[in-house]
Amino acid sequence: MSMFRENMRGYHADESRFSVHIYICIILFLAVSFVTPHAAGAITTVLQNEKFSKGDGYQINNYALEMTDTLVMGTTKMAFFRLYSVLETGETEEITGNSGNPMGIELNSSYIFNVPDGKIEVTLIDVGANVYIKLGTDFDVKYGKYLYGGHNRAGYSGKPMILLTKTVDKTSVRKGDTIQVTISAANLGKGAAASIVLQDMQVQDNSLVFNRWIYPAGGVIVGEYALDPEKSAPLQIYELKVSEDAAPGNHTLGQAKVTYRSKSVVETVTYTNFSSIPEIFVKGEAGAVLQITLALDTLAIPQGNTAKVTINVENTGKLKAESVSIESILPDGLVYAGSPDESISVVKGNPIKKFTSALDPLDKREFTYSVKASKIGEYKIVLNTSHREGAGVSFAPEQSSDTIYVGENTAINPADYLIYIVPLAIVIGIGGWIYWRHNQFKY
Amino acid sequence: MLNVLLIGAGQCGNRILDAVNKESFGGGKLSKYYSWQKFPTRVETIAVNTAVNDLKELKYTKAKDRIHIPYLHGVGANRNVGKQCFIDNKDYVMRAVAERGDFDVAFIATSTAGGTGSSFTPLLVSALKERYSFPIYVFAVLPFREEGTIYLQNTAFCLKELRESGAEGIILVDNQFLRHLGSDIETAYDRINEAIAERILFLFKSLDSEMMMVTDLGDFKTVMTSGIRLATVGFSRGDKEISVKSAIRNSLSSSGLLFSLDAYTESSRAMIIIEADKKYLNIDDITTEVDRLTTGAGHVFKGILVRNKAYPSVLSVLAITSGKELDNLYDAAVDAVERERRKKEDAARQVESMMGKIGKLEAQY
Repeated sequence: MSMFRENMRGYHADESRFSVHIYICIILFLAVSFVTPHAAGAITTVLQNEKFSKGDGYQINNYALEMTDTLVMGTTKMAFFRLYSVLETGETEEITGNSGNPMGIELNSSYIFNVPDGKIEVTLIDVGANVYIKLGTDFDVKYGKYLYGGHNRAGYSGKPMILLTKTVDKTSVRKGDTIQVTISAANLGKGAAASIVLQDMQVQDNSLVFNRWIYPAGGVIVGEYALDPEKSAPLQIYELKVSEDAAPGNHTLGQAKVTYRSKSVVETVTYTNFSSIPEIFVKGEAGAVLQITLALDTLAIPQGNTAKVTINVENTGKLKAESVSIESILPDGLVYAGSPDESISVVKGNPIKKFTSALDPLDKREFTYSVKASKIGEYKIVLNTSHREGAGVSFAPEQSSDTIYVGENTAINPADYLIYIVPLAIVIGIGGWIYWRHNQFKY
Repeated sequence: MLNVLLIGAGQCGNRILDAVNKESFGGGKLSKYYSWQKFPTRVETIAVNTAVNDLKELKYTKAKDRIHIPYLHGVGANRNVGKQCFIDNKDYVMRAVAERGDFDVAFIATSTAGGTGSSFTPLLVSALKERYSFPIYVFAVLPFREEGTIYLQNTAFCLKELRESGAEGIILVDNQFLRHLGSDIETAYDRINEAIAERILFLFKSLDSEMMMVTDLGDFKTVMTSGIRLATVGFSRGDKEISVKSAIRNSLSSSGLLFSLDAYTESSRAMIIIEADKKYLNIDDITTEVDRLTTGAGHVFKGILVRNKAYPSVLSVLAITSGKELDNLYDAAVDAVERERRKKEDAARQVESMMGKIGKLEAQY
């Protein structure tokens, strides 16, 4: 097309009559050879007498038609089109099928593009100050949109699929505890979801009662809620409280429901999905209670040195604690440096000790590991402890070590001595050897 | 293992000894600082001198091996003074030898012309012979002829006394003959000493090696004691271009010998020791050359040392029956003695004449 424009400029520049004749012949040849008359029997009109501007386009489902140029010369009136397939990635791929050239359509003529879904018929109705076309297809059109700026403005049209999750921050609680509930939506589909409406039955019995809204304020989503593909967002966050009347044991929360429709499709289809149902274990008065102490052999560690961390855990409750897990969250300046206890695993740099056998009441356990001071500063090691109790998981209150001071290492590493001692010894050795030899021959 | 005693007497002998020590370190200027002394057999070296400065000049001989006989700063080329000096310090020298253990053979390097070496060596040989039974060979270095009449007469008397001392053999090294080795007197001395050192070390190796064809200390003694117990040695080191045949010839020619001699006509016995890789040991060539020498010398002992990747090296030991050069040397020595005697008589006469002029006059004041 650029070549075509160049030729046009050439025509206006030299006004060569011969060139004009040649040009017209080429255009006519293109028109005759490219435009193939087709029967339009099963084709349904999508657009009727739509006004088009050069460079704009129209998206039908996942196809984008773009008018690239027009030609008005004497009685010859043509418009040129390219057809693109809109990919899931949002990019477009040309499928005009004319050896890289745009498809020229003469006034009052039609051209049918054969696409995987069927046929797209383009009819040129008028070419003048404005261009008018008629579009028809033989397949269902679920999405149709005028594209200002052409095919680059096209977007993939697909079905949304909302996954609704309802989670709680703790599953083992006592009377009076609060539980934070989070309901989130994730769009796993190909198309954007719109008109998202959440219905949530918060609780199923009186053991848990609504306490307060965290998000959104008042629990109400203002305006229409939409979610693009591969995006996720919290819909509601609120707090429940374990009532004083709650019976010990398992309690299930209410299920949440979401309805939404596709943002892209022309027809409105409403989809529905449901959340998972969290379960909460309300502990009785006499459960397992873990008392944990953390001690370091020194709280002042020279940079580069290691310190030994000793953790003691004792079950002071009346029930046994199973699957006790103690995770040490190490600060930036301390690095895990190994342990004689091979059962300690390291996740993201943090050592986690999991006891395979249950801690009976009054049972005590101890384990140790080492940390290396990598950066100067003041730090604390935080312990996250949990254990299984009945069907739920109980979390002990977060616990911190005393402040650990990492200071500059003023001691000289024995290895550093070697840097000086070895060369010095070699020099002294060589010097001594030369002196000894010299004396052997000195007279 | 052969136990060898190597003594350097006087300035010349000391320098030869130092050259041997240098070679045993590998030959480099600083080799004594980074290398161990490697002799082919057990070798003890002793440098004996009356001039302390000469001993100080040595660079590769250990201090403990330098024996200073205090007598001013040398004996001034006077052999009579030197002999008396040795007699006075004989026990000291003999103790130094005794401290170094037992030996199978001794070599003494000395100049025949100077003071200390030429006067000490005959007496030292005699002293050693009185106490020990091992054979003693002397590397006797003859002077440049232009060095003066004292040196020439010293040479004549030294050689005479050496032959009478009981030494099994005297190996002649002629500075006059070897002067071509250096462009000036200094470098000539250094090159001569290096050449002697090279031959001495090769000789030590050949006397203490398991050879393909065997020569030993007994053969060496037979060669050295034949005839007038004078001998010389020749040496040639081959390379890619020089075959074993050429190496043998070179060792017997003036380029390889230490004393001017027609090896084929003026030698009475000979010993040829060849060291080389097997591939260079062409038996036909060796036999041809040895047979050629046998025609004149009568009997030639052959020794072959096989050393991997070594080019041919040949050491020849030739016992001298007679020699033009030896005659010339003695003629010059006799002439020198005569001239010295005449000069002395003339001087005495002149002194007598001068004193006669005074007669019975007395000083008047």
